[in-house]
Amino acid sequence: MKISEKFSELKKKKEGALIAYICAGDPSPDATKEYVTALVRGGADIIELGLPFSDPTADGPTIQAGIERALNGGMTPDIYFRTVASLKMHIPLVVMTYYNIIFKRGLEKFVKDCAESGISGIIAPDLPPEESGELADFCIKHDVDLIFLVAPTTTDERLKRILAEGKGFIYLVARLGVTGARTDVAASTHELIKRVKTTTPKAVGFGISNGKQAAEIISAGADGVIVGSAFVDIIASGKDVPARLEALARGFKEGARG
Amino acid sequence: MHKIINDILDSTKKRLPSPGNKKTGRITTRDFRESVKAIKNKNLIPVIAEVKPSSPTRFIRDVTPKDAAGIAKQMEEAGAAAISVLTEPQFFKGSIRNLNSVRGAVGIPVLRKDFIIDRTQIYEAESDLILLIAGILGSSLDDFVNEAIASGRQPLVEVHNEIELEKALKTRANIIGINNRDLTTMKVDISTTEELAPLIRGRIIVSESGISSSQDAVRMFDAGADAILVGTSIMQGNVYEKTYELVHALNEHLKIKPQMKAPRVTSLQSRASGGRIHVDCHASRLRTHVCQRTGIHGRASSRGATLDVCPRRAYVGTKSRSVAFGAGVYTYALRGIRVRGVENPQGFGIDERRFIASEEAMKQEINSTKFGKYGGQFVPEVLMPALEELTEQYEKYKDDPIFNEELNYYLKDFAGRPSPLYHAKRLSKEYGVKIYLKREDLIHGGAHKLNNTLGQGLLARYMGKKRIIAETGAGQHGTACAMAGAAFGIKTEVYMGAKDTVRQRMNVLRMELMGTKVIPVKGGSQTLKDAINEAMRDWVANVETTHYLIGSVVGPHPFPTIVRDFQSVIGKEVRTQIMEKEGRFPDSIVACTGGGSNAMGIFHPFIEDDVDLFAVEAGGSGMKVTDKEALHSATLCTGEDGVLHGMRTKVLQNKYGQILESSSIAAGLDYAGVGPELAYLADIGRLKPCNSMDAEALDAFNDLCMLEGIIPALESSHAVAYVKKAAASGDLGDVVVINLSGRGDKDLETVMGLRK
Repeated sequence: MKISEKFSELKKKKEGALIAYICAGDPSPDATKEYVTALVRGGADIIELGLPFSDPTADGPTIQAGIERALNGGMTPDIYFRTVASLKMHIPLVVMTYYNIIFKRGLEKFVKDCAESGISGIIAPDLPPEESGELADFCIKHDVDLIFLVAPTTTDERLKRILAEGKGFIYLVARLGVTGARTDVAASTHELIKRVKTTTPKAVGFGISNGKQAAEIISAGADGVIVGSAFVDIIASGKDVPARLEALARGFKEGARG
Repeated sequence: MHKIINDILDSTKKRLPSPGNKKTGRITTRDFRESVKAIKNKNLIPVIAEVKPSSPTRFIRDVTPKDAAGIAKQMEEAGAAAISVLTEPQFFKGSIRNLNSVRGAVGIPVLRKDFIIDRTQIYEAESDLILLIAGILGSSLDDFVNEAIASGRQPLVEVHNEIELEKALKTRANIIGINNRDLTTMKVDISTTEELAPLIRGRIIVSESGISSSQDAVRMFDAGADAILVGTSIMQGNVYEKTYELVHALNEHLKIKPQMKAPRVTSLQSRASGGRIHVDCHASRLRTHVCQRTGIHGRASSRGATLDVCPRRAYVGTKSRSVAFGAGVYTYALRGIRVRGVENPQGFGIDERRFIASEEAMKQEINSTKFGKYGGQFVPEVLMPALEELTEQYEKYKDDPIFNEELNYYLKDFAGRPSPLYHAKRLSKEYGVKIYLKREDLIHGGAHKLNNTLGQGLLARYMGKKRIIAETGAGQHGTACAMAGAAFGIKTEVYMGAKDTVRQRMNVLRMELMGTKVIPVKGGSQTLKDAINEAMRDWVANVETTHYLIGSVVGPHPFPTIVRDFQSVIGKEVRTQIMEKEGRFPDSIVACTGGGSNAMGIFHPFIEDDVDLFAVEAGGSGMKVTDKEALHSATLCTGEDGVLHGMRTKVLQNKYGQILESSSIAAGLDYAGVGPELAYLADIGRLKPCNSMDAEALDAFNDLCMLEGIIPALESSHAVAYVKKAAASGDLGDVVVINLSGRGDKDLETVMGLRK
């Protein structure tokens, strides 16, 4: 499913989207299908499925630990695309990985593998628009959305460029710093949502840990929330994981529903 | 010779100093080449302005020593590259007192202009440059040149025709003056420079006499002169204004003709002795936009249509390796002009290919964040504005006189620069090649790292940042950060792999003593790679108040450029020091390479010269690689194209792009990436990547201890070990400079542990 279709469907229902992140292969390739299904049952609208990289500089300790578990569990890009193809989801799937993984596979091969396995968007947090020209061309060719991030530090000039080039949704980085759960909504988040004026859907990530925050962000004007660390924490605990993932997703979705 | 010249020579013989007055002590001189280079880089014309009271035919004005100083100061302020002072008393009304007074008043190089016919005259006065006239000295020219160089003075050999030029080129003189005045007829014709300049390769060309307007200046510059010497027309008018006009002649000229077609490279010729590119464009446009950007030494015909552009290097060497290296320079020089097809030349084996250079591509080159395909900015969006800010601020301060004055003060009085260039006699004898050691181990802190931390620390202060963070592997960079942080009064925090904090306990203690907080990193492999990851995370979170002080020529642009520039002080010093000791450049420079900051620091000032560069990586305990780790850190030798830590470069990685854990006995070389500029220089053949194994490095470590009384860092020992291996093959030539990047006190436990 295309990301834009999902957002317009939600718009009709006047709902905010819940975009749920986990790292594929955490803690083993087999577990991923079960966890993704649980998140969807809980109400996740889009799944952002991490493809692990050895040096995840944009991620905080929680997700880094998840990535390490996935690598130790034997996750590779080959297994990743096989796993994704077997999911057969009716909601959009987005791959989140670092640029070297894409680069090493070959830009076009990577995008083609995405398209063929049912992935509709790519997030590479270490790939700013300046360096993304070639990949963006292949994404257009194979109809995959290349999703860009916007941060509180992004200047107006850069914002213009990102909004012009960003596809699928615009990923708003809620605060300075790396991924990780926090309890409040920063003033900078509200400001950023106001600054980003676009017809492309806006989703806010980094530091969202409860439904109340999700509700606040949606009512501030965002079209979706991205939650990662809170789910990865549950996987890290290894206890009753599918049920707890589902319950937590439900809580976030209720918040996002507004 | 014209009668006037004969009269002058007769009179000169009468005023020769008595032989007993010979003062043979060497003097410290100001580097004319650097001065010329710096001015050309600013798109200006290097002018040697002459303090000239009179000529044999025309009296201009009386000049006392005090006047001379005043005039010279005005010339310097107007942007002159050097001052020429006439010391001939009778016909030119000059004096040695004028010379002394000028040299005391200005900071730029000073040329002594006189009729030198006897060696004792060389020592009469202290000057940076000394004029030697080929037509007068005849067969003794070579001896005079050698004596001048030995005395520390840079000879400017003046010629007027091809025969004299041929003699001059056989000497070691680096500066050739083309006198447009014929000393037999005394007639002036500036086309002399246009005839002779194209015959000269690899020397600085000064065009003298008969240059009076900015049009003349541009014409001489287009003909291939690197500098012009002007006396009469400056002395006759307003000294400051006339000097200024000539210095800025190029820009004037461009203003007059703004509409010029874009340069077009139409063909590339190659032959065994070198290469040649024909560029079809207006002469001065090529000169200013292509030659200056690229460092190619261009030759223009006076018609300004087709030009021969010859990389200096390509014509110099006759040895086969030099030709191949020349090709490297060639491509390097042309990077960004999109000369298709020479991205990776194998020597000069390519013939008559067609290339196109576009104005647009040149603009891109100026703003480029890359070295060829390497480098760039692969970082989270949060950091992009910070990189933009850093780029902007660095551009602002890098040539700022106040910033540089303060930096130089710290480099000299705090760090202890310049570091000596030491002729290691016993090691040379043992290895069979003349070895000079650049003693960075003597810099405060015991390694070259402080050059960079002082530069960036000061930059952080000028940028108003309140906090410095850094990563460190062995702790050398962290220690250098702690020193700079304490000296500048900036709060400093250093990330260090938890394993490294144990292995390098002494450096942790040193940092803490200087008030730096050391944060152990427990993620990943708990080494340098993870410390960088963690420091980047910190920077992402605190980018507004914090400067990330990267310790090597790695990371996103502009870090590789900034660190290289701050470390280039090493190579710049070597240029001067080796000229003083050898009267020429070394055949090879060898440096160990992890991230590559000491290597780029010593290599960069020599990129355009006929000097072979060797980057020695850590071969570790073998070339074996598994899916997760490599037993070595030889990234340039074995790595593959990838993206790590914000840059595209060569990376040790597995088939999926996961970064491998590297390995080396030397913690400072233990890194899975390498500086992007080094990857680029390796690709185009300008430097040779090679490696030394752990055991070889230990062996060289012992040699240096036993033979020279120097305990080197294990990192630097890799460079020494390579020289030991390669000297026998003759690949290194006769004179080698090794960058001894650090001292080995920190490695004693490692070495002693292995000996047991």
